[in-house]
Amino acid sequence: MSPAPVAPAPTSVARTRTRSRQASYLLASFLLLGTSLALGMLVGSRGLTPWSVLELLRGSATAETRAILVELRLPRTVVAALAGGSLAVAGAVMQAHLRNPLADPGLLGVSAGAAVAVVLAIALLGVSTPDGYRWFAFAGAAAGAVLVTAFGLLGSSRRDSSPATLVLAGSAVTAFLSAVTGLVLLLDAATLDAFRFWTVGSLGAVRGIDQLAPVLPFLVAGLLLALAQSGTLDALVLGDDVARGLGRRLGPARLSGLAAVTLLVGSAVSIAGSIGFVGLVVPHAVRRLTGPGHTWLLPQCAVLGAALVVVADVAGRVLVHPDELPVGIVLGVVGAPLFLAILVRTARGR
Amino acid sequence: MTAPVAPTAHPPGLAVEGVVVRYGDETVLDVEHLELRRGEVTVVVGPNGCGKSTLLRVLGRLVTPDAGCALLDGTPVARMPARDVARALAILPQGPTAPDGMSVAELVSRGRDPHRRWYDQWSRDDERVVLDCLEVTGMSAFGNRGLDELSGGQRQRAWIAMALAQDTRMLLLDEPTTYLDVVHQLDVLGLVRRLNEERGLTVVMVLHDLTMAARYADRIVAMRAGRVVADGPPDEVVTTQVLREVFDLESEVVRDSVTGRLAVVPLGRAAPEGEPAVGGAHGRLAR
Amino acid sequence: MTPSVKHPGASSGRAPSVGPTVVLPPAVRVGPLSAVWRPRQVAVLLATTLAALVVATVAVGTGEFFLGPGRVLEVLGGAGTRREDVVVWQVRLPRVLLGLVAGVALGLSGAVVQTVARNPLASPDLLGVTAGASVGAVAVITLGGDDPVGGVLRGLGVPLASCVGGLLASLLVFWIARRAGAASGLGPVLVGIGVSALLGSLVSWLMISASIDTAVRANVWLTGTLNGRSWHELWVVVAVVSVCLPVLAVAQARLAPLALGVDVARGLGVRVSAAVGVLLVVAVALASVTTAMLGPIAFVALVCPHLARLACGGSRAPLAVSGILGALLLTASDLAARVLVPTVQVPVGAVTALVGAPFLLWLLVRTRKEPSR
Repeated sequence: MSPAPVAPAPTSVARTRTRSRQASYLLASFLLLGTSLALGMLVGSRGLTPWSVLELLRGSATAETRAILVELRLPRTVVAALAGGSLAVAGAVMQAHLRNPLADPGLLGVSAGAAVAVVLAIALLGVSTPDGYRWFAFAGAAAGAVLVTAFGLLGSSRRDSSPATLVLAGSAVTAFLSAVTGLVLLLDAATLDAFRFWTVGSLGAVRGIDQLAPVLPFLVAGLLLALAQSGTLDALVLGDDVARGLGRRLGPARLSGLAAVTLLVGSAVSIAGSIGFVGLVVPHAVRRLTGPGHTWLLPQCAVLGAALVVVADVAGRVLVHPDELPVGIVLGVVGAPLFLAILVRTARGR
Repeated sequence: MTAPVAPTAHPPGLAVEGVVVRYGDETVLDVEHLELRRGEVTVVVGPNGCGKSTLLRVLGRLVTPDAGCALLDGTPVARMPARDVARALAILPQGPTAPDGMSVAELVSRGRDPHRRWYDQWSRDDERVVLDCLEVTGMSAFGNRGLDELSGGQRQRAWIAMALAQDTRMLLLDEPTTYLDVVHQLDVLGLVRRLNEERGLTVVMVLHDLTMAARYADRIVAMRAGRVVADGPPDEVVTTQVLREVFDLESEVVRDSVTGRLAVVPLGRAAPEGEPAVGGAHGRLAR
Repeated sequence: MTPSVKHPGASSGRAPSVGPTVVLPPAVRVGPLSAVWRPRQVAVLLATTLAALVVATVAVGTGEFFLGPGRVLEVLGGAGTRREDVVVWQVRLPRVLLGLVAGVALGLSGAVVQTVARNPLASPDLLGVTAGASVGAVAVITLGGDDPVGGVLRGLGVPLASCVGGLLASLLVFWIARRAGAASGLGPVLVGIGVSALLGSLVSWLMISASIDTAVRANVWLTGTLNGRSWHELWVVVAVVSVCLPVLAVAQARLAPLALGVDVARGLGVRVSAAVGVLLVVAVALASVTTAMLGPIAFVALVCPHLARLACGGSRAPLAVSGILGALLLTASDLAARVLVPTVQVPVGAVTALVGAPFLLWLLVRTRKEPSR
């Protein structure tokens, strides 16, 4: 049942991407993720050694160490990893469905919907903790996705199955919702004060692992849905006609893709706040490594996206010690040049 | 400022001299000397990745070679103004795409761009040529339809109409019949042949199908790994020996009784010396 | 050289001329001059120009001191009282004119970038202009002060700093794009996204490091506003636009072949690198000056090409219509922004999407898959 390996290989790249090579890349990525998780646990304003972790496991750690590890570092690192992985996978799915490398999972209205919901919650209901925002963010994300999908469907005739309409509908709805957000922020400075921290990722406010639990099923469901779509995504990238010719049914495929993105981004946004950049850029970078086949692209995106956000979070804790740089900022400042370097180094002479 | 070139050394037509194209460390094209004479239909064949598309793109000035140059009537193509080149030769690259919603007539009229003056955007000449090209390619009835509503064959004919509207004496086609069904292939190749016979259009095209190549070409250039392996009329190039060398293909070449042209019967992959051919007994139809 | 054997299929390509034949677009011909006659486009252009002028006139009359449109025209003609003159000539007219001209600049810029990038999501902000300009402006607002660095920043002032920031950012984008061998099509946009993300984070950092009051002021600039803008800003924008327009008028002939892709365009005789370079420089200049004078106005450059294309039919965004639609959208949004919340001067950038997005959605639904022209 393995999906047909597809997408035209670039004629000038000499390397072949064999299965064993892909597997070794994935293994390397997992190691990278493991290292970053370890860093995430150990690095911070109170540096800890690996021995502290052993002490914790043996039950002989001090209360303070325990508090730091279990209440702060572990949940924060786990949240960062889950958010990063989800956003990266969602980005890859969006880009395949919309056949547009500029597609960001936010285009589906999920991020903008979440933002509007959070802003209204702060302004009208006085909610002020990330914990409180969580379900508003999720609901807003879902509502945004529904709006975009509805307009996308309304705007396309029966003949037109190209994603162009969905793309336009997405930008229109997203812009509208962002405008509402912006308007509220302008009119209410107190809301701006709270909101400007949410927009760069709210990892610093994560406390305890149990706030993760309610959202986890949605996140896992989204991940599984996305991974199950690998074959369909490969076919979709070639065009709707080819996809139909390969036996994929477009309607259900589109809907499950949109559902996967909504679940993934909604979960990520609700546990970690708004983190940009990952969904758009990680798939591009990973594609240069794995090639366009989604069987390998999606897992690699998940692992490397997770590692990226964890490392960014760690860097944020270290760079301006003892203050903290929010993860969204680090991603931009560090991740962007990395992305650009990848673009330059893997450029093909044309 | 063209370098002085002795007229006898370069007869009119397209040529490449010492052309080398590299992608990174790989040498994709390495052709010492190749001349394509006026008035002929030349077909370039070869296995995937042999550089035939690159050769065409160098001829059509889409790729600048790392060494050597392409020459048009003796002048290096790279030194000629872009519009002059576009008025002398038209190239249709592989798998071209047009924006959503473009109609056939709109596409074909784009072919007039090299002739357009900024103050004369839609002259009577332009109209006449566009109508003529639509007629010749059999697309008159589809002129106002959108490109995305057409079948693969119709779309290809529309693109060819655009290339024809450029009103050039040379036409370069990169895999014009890939993805077309047999009838449409015959339509396109027949059209190209007719244009060559009736209007003296020089045609250079890349084809995959060896039998079609043998049927429609005046001259065949066979390439492998970036080099020209064989070059001559079909009778000389389409032989079992050459096909084995170029394609690793074991085949039988016959003359078909209907058209009197050569046809290739592929038998299977050529084996290293001393072993039987893979894919069936020699002399029988494999498969 | 041609073999004498008849090629089967040689004459099968000529289809008999039955059924509907093609209707070519009509031409307007006067002596040696000719042009394609596109009545729908002309009609849309006239209608939107008229609408823009009407909205502008109403906008000049709207505010605390209300003037009917007729009265506005009289004041413009010289028949106003001292008070009316001040309100119209010194406060409202420059602002409305700025909205019109900046809107044209944004509409044109968006149409050029979308055609060159061959992507409906492309807009000039993606080329790094907006992010660079934001860094410059927010740096001045949040860091400008009495210390040495802050003093320099404050001396530069917001408009100059944002202009410099925008231009430097786009230079960076083009330089990287060339190094990546991706200087046309989607290449600059992808690089622009990376650079914008980098610069955007810098802006976020400045925003969260600042005091809440400074953050509020910076946020107002970041939203894009016509508040407090006057003749000075207008002349700057007019100057840049009047240099760019003639260049664009010449370069725009390359847009149609470029829309067919780099290879086909080259085959049609377009010098692709030069053409793309000129077009993108113009697009960046137009977006840069607008951002420097008004702040980044979201959405106008993205949506106007689509509105223009859907309204006129066809496959590309017509430049002129896109520009006028930009003027209409920006002016209408500013008018809406001023009347929306009576006590607060809402920045226009907050409203452009509120006005423009529903319009785009309506057009999308109404014109589903129309046959092309």
